Amino acid sequence: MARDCCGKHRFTRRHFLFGSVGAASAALLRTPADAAVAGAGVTPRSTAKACIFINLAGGPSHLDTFDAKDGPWNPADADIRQYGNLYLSYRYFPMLSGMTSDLCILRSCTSWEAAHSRGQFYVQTAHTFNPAFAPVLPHIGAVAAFELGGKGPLPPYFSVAPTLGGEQTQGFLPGIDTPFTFNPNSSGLPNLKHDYYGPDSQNFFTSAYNLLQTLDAPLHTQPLNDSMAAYGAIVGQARSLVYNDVVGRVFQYTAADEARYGGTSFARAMIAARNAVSAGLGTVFVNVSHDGWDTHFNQFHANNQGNLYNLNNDLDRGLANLIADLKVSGHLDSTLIVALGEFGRTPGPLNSQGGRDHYPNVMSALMAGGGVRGGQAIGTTDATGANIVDPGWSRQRSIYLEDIASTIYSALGIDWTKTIQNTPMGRPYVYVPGSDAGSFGPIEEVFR
Amino acid sequence: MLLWVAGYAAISRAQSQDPGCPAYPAAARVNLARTIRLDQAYLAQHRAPGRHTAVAVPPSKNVIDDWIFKKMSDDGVQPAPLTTDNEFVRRIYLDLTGRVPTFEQVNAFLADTSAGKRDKLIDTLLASPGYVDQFSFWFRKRLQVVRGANSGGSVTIGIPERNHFYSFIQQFVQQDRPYDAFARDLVTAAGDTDTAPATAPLSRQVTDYYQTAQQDFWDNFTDLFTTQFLGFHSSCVSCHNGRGHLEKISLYLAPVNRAQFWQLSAFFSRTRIQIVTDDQSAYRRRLIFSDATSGGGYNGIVNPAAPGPRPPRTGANAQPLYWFTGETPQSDFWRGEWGRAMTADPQFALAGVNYVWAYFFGSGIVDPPDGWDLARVDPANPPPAGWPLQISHPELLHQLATLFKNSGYSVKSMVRLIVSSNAYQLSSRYPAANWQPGYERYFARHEAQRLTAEQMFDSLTTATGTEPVLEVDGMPGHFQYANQLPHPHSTLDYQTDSLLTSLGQGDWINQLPSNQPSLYGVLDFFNSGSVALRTQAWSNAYSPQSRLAIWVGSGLSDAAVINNIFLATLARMPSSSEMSSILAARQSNRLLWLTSVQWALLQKSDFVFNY
Repeated sequence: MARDCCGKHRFTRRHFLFGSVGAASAALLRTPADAAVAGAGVTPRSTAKACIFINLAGGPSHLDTFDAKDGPWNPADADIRQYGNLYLSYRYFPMLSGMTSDLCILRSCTSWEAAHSRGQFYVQTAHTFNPAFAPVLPHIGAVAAFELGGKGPLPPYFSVAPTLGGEQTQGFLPGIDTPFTFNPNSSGLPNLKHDYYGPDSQNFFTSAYNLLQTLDAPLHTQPLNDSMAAYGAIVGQARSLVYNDVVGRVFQYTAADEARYGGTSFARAMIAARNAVSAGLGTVFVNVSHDGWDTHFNQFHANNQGNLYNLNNDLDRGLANLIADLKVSGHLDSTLIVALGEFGRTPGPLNSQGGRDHYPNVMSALMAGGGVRGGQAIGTTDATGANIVDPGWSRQRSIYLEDIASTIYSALGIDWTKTIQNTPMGRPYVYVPGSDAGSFGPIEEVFR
Repeated sequence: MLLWVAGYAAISRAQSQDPGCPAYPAAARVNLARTIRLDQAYLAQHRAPGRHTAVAVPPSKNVIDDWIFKKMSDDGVQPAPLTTDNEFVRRIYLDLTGRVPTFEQVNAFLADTSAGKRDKLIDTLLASPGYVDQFSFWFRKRLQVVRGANSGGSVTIGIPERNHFYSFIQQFVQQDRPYDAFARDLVTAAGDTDTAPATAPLSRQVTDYYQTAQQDFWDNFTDLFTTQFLGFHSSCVSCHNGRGHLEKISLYLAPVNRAQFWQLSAFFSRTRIQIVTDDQSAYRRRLIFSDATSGGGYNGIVNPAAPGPRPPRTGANAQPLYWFTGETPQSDFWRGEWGRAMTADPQFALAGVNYVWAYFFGSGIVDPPDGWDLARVDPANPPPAGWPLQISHPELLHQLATLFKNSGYSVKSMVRLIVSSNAYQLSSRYPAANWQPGYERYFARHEAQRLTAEQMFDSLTTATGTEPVLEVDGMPGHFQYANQLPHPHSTLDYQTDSLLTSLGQGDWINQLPSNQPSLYGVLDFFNSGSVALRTQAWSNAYSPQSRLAIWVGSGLSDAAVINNIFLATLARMPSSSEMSSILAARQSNRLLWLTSVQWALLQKSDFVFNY
């Protein structure tokens, strides 16, 4: 058997989990029932069945997105309008401006990090980056999948159009919680079926697959090792997805939908997210990456394709249509939508290059659906967006990513203080570090 | 945009690599916890009193068997049976050439009744172009010599440089040049990257030229060479001291401080890297490597506008000292002195042999092979409680290193020794009820492993007789196999590249190659045209002359065709129950039925795995 490459090591998750002879405590950690847990005994809100998490990678400028205010930095056409205590640029967010009653804006957030990599790790895991344990720490979507997955044929955790090479995966959690990663194409998800034999294609597949199952049965019942067992399980999972119209429809978009959502990659990701959560086929967490917010240069310049007009307009169309569609279909109340990046950007006037640099002290986040009370903004910053002057919530301090993660878990019905004791790493995994001691917790003010 | 690109690359790097330790691969860290557990299980077995029941071991063919089977006998660990000829022929072709044997090759080997036929086949394969392709590919992948910037921002090398290095590696493997000379060639590569033969691995480390301090390049070189030639990543201590960071990762590096790392990097402080062109949009970079004969030394003075990714080097002032053995430069050519000191270091041969071992066995005698913890590999100086020894067969590894050195650092001789052993030729089959996780470190069975993306593709085309025409941007002619491609995303054949990607080829920059099965990859292998059309029993664009189409057209009986598909795909005949299952599934459309047989065999666990 050939080894692959340095650092690329034979490693099977099951083996990793069960491979220890010394540790009698190496229990099967496949479902929450297998986990030895501790918790602070909190009661989650349980207002949502699924979460759509929009990762605004690069760190959006809070002043030029959800914490808009008058200032000389605004372009002449910014057209900032007030909706209660909530302010949005009509130029950037023409559609969201019409649905502020569904939006909850968090303006008093603070990031722990000012570097993309470490900040992104925080956003994705609610944990500090630690080199020794980074690879085993799961994405919060994988935790949601671990807790709530296995309720339908679709993978519980989708990661749509992910940042290339930049997404945390399921870490130490079992393989079923691996993000199902794909780039949404106009043609849908390729290879969910084929058409090589015309009307006989599905029959061909079924009989060929049945033959495979018959021939491979001995190696399924007695696999040569855990890697082979894991492969067999994934083949079975793949089988449940193919020639399954219900599944196929999740990945198909009408031309009208595409046009409405904006026709971009993000637009298709939003449509896939909408379809996935409204299909009710077991998907509980959809991670969507919306890249490009690292606007150091020329952030309003027309020649810059990645300027804030385009970024905001793209986000506006995709997000507003998603919220509107879920509302019409009746799924908005059970779907928590969260959008944020890894930090804010420098306040006040633009830098000498017409952009803004990294700024952890203040950032903004957006929430909607899933029990969230819309039409409100939490927290207030000063005139240039440099400091938080009123946190606007019960803990009377900045909102941190730990608090946001706790809020997501609470909405999904997950005990955010939970600690898995019997991890394969041999050290406990706390869902939200510090929450077990009460240092962090859900932002109860966002809920109805 | 430039900063964004850099920032984007940084994000991408973040989750595959620790930004604090820019080159420490995540996979190695994940494995640390696992391998420590296996080590402990192994020790528990090794020390368990009173359970050393007599076991039957195969005869010893060489020094490898002496030690491997001695340890199993001593500790009462029963080895798996030896491979059958069918198992052996498939495994040896996959390991030495990167693809399954052809129908004819299987038949020829099975028909051979001579006593030494396994050794004969090994010699044949070691002399074949397939061996050159597979091991050249292995070295290219380890050195991450990849051109292009799909997801890696500005990391790229020029076409001429890539092509020169391709030839350099092929010649090294084909001529079996000494591994120590090869290492020194890489360390001292100099000249214009458009014409020099071996600069590519160094150039790959010269990232973000205009934003990065020279010291970062030196630090990258140091880490590259400790990783590939000494078996451990050192870049952790290129940013910070070991104390407070590495206590749980490496006993050896925990007390090492950053100043000591600078002493290593100082060997590269006389190296000049001059940029001639940096046309990022055309992925066309040209550098000139040269060395001063005086001056140098490692200081912390950098251009504040281009500080690079590492924290400030406060107080840096280091002269070259290869403190692993205490060597200092004996000549003015400091980079050459690093090459001399490194290849004279006993760890050089140990790490080199251990990499080769791990390629064939799936795990090293010290494991992972790029994660040596030098404080845990000497049984005479055992590590403190809680830290198991990292080495399973110290006597064997040291003997292999000596043999390697005495052979003039012949990689091919070492490969021959390993694959000739009965230890390598053990079966993967083991009664599940008797298996203990600790046995893995005894190499008591051959660990089955999913084929790499390239092995999977090349085996698919070999089995079905549908080898593609793979053209490469900037190279004349074309290739037939994925392991001949210079690197990921280098072929112009989009369909093939796409399949290789979903099978886990990675990009060798941010996405490490992975042979872990994914849902997406399985769907692709089920239904994509690249696979499904190759299974058809008639001609099409993918398979104008597929084996199946030829057999069907030659009037063979059903049973004869099925036997042939099994031999070509799985290197074995069908069992009687398999044959009857297939015949029972016969459809009125014979061609579709045989197509479904071919498809099913390609999805079978014993096709997808090297076992």
